Amino acid sequence: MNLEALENIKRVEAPPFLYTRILQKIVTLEKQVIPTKLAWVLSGFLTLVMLLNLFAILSQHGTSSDTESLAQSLQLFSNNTLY
Amino acid sequence: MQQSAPDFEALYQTHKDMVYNLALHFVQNIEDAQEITQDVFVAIFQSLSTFKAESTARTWIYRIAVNKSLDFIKSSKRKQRLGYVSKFFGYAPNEEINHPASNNHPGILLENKEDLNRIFEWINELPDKQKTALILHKIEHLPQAEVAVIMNMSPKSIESLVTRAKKNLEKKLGL
Repeated sequence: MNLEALENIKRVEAPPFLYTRILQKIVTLEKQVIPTKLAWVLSGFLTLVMLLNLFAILSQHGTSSDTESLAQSLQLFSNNTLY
Repeated sequence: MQQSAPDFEALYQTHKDMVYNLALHFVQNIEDAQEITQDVFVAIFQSLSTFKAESTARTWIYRIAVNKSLDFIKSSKRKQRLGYVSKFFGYAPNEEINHPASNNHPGILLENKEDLNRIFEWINELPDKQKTALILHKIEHLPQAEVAVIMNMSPKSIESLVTRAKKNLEKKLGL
């Protein structure tokens, strides 16, 4: 056996039905409203935005209870009653 | 479809066998080569308007065909690894896990099948650049100068890649 055997590989013809399949693929891709990659990027972006919103909402709840306990420890009141 | 369709069909008719045979040399499998060929010509259709004619159409198409073939091989290996992992966890995949070299290259004559299957097993293990240079030069019979233009390298680099590929193969085959 030697590598010269590579030179004996015959050339073959592409099957005739391939062109039809290629055209079908092209038509399918042209019909896509949003390209697949763009759909994934948009989904990822929306997920990130939702997570950030959730984080902001949860942080706010934490912040207001911290503010209240600080006010209580300093004997500050949120109403305007002076007596 | 657009007005470039007649040009596209002419390109297809001129280069279809070249692309199909190149894909066969990379994957040695009829079904996979058909899929690669389709992907190549879809990519060609999508890029027709951006083809700048800095190289010939033949060089441009060879480049796309090489890249699509290498991408296909990487994707198959990834799917195969995923299949093994799924099987390990007891999830039976719908398809059988394909061995990458399920050889039915129609250009290989029966009397050479055993030798060439062994050679291709080792070609499949070569680094991508060595594999590409060897296939283009030794199997597609392209001159080194043309291989250099396709791979965007110097002719000396191609010569070095082909020499290293041959040495690696000869070592693995015990020649």
